[in-house]
Amino acid sequence: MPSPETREFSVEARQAPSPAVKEFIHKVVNRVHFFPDRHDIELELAAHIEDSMLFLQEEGGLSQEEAEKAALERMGDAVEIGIALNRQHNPVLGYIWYFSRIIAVLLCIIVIFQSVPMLLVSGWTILFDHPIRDIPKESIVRHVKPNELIKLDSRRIRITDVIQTEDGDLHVLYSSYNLSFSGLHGWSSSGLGIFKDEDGETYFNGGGRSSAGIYSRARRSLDNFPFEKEKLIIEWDYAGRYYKVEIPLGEVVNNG
Amino acid sequence: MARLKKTIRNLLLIAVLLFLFMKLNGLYFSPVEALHTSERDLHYGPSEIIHSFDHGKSRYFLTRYQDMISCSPIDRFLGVFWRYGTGHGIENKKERPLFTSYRSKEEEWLIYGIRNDPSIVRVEIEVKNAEGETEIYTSDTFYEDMFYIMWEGENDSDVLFSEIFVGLKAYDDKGTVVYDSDFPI
Repeated sequence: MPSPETREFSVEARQAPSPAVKEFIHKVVNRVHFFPDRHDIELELAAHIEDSMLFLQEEGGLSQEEAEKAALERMGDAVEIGIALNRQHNPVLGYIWYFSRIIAVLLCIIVIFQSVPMLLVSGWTILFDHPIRDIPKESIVRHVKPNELIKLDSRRIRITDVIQTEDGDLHVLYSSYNLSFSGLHGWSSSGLGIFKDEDGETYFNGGGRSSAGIYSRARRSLDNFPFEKEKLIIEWDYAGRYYKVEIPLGEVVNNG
Repeated sequence: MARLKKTIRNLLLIAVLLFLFMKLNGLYFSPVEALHTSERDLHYGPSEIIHSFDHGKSRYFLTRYQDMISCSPIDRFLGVFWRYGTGHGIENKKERPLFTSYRSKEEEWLIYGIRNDPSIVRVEIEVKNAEGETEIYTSDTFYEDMFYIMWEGENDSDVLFSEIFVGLKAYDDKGTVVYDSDFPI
């Protein structure tokens, strides 16, 4: 009996089956309800009958017509063979296997197509895109590395560097990712909160940038942060979420 | 047996790929899960769902969280999924008898809000249609003081709510105007 697995046959080397053989094979495969296997079964049955015919012709000295008739008789009842093959080629399992293969391939193509750009962007960010490179080294007058980890819902923010440059701008550098993978579809909050100094003065003006992807690095720059201030306070107080990070800024060096 | 093993392998692979596909596209099997996930990612909520209704391919959720309200649409996608939405609220200004906000999507306009004055039983909004004619839409249904009015109209990126808004009125059960605003929200 042919197995459910695909087998290769050298079809070209074999003759086309006669109408009687075709009819026999047709009766068999008609009982097989898993259509995708029918072609393989047809090929295997045809090969089997032909082998049997050749054997009968060579060993038994029968003519082609006699050998064909005898070979078909040896095969047995076509309907019974078909029923047995249908049990072996279970259509329920067969169709689940068949469509699961198609769905898996399609999903694989879609996921690769969608995720590769995201992975490339994140890889680029991790390897090359550090916003500290936006800041000329010679302009730095204060630089601290707080390495503060902030947990805000499923978002994780790490403040890596706070740098003040000679023009008074204070740059807060941080990386973030989201445990809910929301960065994958591009929707997530990227804010850091309200910036204050130790006297409660708030700072809004400035700029910044942030990279996209699963893992992002960002820079938030505050204009004209006074050199005499000793602390940067970052506070989030909204919709039931609260955090406060106090970052000592250290001494100003090389100012002016 | 080999086919059974391959089928199990395929199904496991589909489960992993489906998870990634859903994460990549912000898809969920449940609209409530999509709403609350989007809220959490925007550091808001989870809000209390006061009422939900279907319109077109979207399910809208009238929600309340602390002093904020929202009416977020969650869109159906590919028949079985619900797409991540805009789960965020605005603060209810309790000094106003009626506090409202609006949103638009394709051809639909939606005004929603909350009555801070419990005597309000009906809300009426007057807007201009594409031909410049005035149309009035009303609602007398409140869900724990929240309401919504939805209508179809001209809505492309060039049309601002302030351009179509004419007025908003709220009435008590005697038909007296309790709140009257010609300022859009």
